[in-house]
Amino acid sequence: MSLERMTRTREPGSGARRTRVGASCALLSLLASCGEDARVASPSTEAVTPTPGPEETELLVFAATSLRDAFRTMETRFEATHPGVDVTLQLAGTQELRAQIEAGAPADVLASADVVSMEALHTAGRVEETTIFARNEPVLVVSREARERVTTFADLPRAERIVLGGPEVPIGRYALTILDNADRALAPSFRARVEAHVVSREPNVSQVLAKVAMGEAEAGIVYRTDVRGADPELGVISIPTEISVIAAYPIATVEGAPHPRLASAWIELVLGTEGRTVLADAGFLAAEAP
Amino acid sequence: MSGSERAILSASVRGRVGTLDLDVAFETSSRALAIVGPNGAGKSSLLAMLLGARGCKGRVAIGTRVLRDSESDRDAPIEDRRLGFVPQDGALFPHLDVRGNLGLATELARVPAGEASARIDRLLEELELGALRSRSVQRLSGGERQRLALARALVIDPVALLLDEPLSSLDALGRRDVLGFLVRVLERHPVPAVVVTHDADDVRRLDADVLVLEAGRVTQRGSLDDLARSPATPFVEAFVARTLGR
Amino acid sequence: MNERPTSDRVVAPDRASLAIGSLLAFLLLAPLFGLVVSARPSDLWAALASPSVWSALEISLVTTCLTALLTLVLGTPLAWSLARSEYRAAPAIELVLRLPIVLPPSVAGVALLLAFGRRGPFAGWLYPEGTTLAFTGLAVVLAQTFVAAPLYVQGAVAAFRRIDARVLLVARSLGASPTRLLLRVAMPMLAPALIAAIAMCWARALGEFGATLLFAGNMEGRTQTLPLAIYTAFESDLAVARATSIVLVLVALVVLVVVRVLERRSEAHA
Repeated sequence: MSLERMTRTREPGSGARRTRVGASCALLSLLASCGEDARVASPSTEAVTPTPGPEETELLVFAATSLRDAFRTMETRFEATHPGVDVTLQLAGTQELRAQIEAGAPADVLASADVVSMEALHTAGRVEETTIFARNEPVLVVSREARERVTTFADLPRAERIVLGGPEVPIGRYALTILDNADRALAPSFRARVEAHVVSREPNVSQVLAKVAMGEAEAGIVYRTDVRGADPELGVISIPTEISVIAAYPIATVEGAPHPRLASAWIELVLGTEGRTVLADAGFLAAEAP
Repeated sequence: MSGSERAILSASVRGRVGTLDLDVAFETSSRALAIVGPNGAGKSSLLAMLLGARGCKGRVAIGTRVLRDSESDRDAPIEDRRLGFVPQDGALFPHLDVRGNLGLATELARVPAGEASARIDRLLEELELGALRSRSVQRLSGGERQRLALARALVIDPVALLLDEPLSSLDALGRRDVLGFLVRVLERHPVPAVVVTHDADDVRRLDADVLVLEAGRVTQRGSLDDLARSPATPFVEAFVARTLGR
Repeated sequence: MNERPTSDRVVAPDRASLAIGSLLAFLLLAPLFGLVVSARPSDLWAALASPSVWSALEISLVTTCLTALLTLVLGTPLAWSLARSEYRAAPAIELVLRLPIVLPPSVAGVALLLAFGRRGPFAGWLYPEGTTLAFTGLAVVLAQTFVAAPLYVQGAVAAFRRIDARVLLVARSLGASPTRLLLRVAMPMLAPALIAAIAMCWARALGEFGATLLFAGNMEGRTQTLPLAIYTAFESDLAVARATSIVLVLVALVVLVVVRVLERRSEAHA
């Protein structure tokens, strides 16, 4: 099996910058920390007014790992429409990005997978007004060995070995909420029957997907965007909306950003029609979705 | 084999050692046999062949025990030959004390425990190592090290003794000390003994027969006096001159 | 007037070396210092009161000891063979066996999955009944052995090479078969060096994180070792993570001190 299949990233078809650097990069992304943080939260919307300043030629965007493909596409487009401007993407787990901004990193924009982290930064005066720009939906992913047995979410207890995110990371918390909802909506003790088959609680969503993609585990819960471009043999099963939980992604200009005008231009691109199309292509749901 | 009668060590070995073509035949029994010769003549290689550490053609036997016979494809492994080997500076077991070195030797030779400790005590006394029995070998003098190496070779009750320049790493004092013990040991332990040496004085003290080895071949065999009377090669002439000159 | 021994006067470090070297020393010590000063005794108590820390400590101790045992039993004959071998490919084999030391742990974990996973080449006879090695304590031991055993083998090969060949010849002549030469002579003779090497292996296994996470997963009470527990705690309770880290640092420090003492003894023998 190719190493590429284990990664959760894909190359967008458009003129995105080619960054396939072979197996080592793919492997390292397995250890990428939980950039998939996302929590349901009250949306806060407010456009940021650009402060006039000297000519800006650089933009530093901090973004959660799950945004990699979408933001790389946008980087290319942004640079095309802003000649002479160089955009740098810093992709990492939301927790890491948050820690770096708290330590005073000179970022211009933060796009987080986690509303709670973003709100905390906002309260602490580290970022300006935040806006939800996308949502992400957990899905059930099933290895090829178990595809026959597990065809709907209700079949999950029939999977032999199940991996979930740990309760410390958002995807793990969502999974538990979904299982609790399933207890009420599908069958009593659904959660207990699933948990009897849980063999590992992974510290990030990449690990969950890798274990299922390699066939070590038969089923796991990851984000919709994770399985875009993954092994076509993987079964991807939607979680019924009445029990599912949808993650929200907020974006904001960093307080004291060195390039505030470019920062708001970037946020406009993300929130605009073009940005929404790119995000939808990557598997994200629209910000207005339930 | 009667008490003081020594068994006969007979060897006829051939083999290549690097560029040297070694072809040596000898017998020895009643006296120690000193092997002398210039550097690179094959003296140590000959010992290695007798020990079984180096392959060779030919035949090696002690009494009725055949250690090597290329005709019948007999080649006893080193550990089954029961030869008491003393290398140049002892090569003691560095992690053990004096008694431990002898204890390990008897264990490796599978000597029964009771018998082993009796032999060890006897040899500690014979080689005057009793007072040093618990001393780490790291703290022994050169002479003491060689005495212990000698005791270790003897403690397995060997069928023959092979000594590779046992005195050459010692200073004059240590040399005299060990040589005295060596003479007594060879008297008390009636086994064939082969001693590689550079020193004609050692040969005289040991009252040894001499086998001269040059470029892999035996060039002369006889007592020191025989050698002095009619040296067969310039090397022999120089060798005996060194001792007679003093 | 100056009573220092000559060697001191000759080789005493110059000021430039001291100054430049101190920079690196600072770089190495500052994080440890940060870890220690940030900890409050109450954090330490909190960590020790947490059942998941105890369970992780237990799993860590059991798996690392099994790893050390497995490495000792299998690694010693391997190192002995490599050190004594005159086979021409031996140096190349030795080099390749060192690879896991320099591989990123994530690569090690993926490699283990590819080799011993359910779709790997050995799956047929490894998993006749449809079980899996991943997510088990055995997988933890294998992951640790993969990354840590080469350290032992490396140390043991170096030690075996230092043995005076004549001592081995004497031992053979005294009656040691090749096997007893290893067990009764070479191993006891090098005991300090071998213990030091196995301690390094054990310490590396104790710190193993990446390969374990990939190959064995993270399940409290089953495969969650101390480093995995620390990583997990980082997501929720930084204080516990910090305190647990200090426990790990202390254990590692003790091992290093023991290793140093044994190395001293080993040098005395050499």
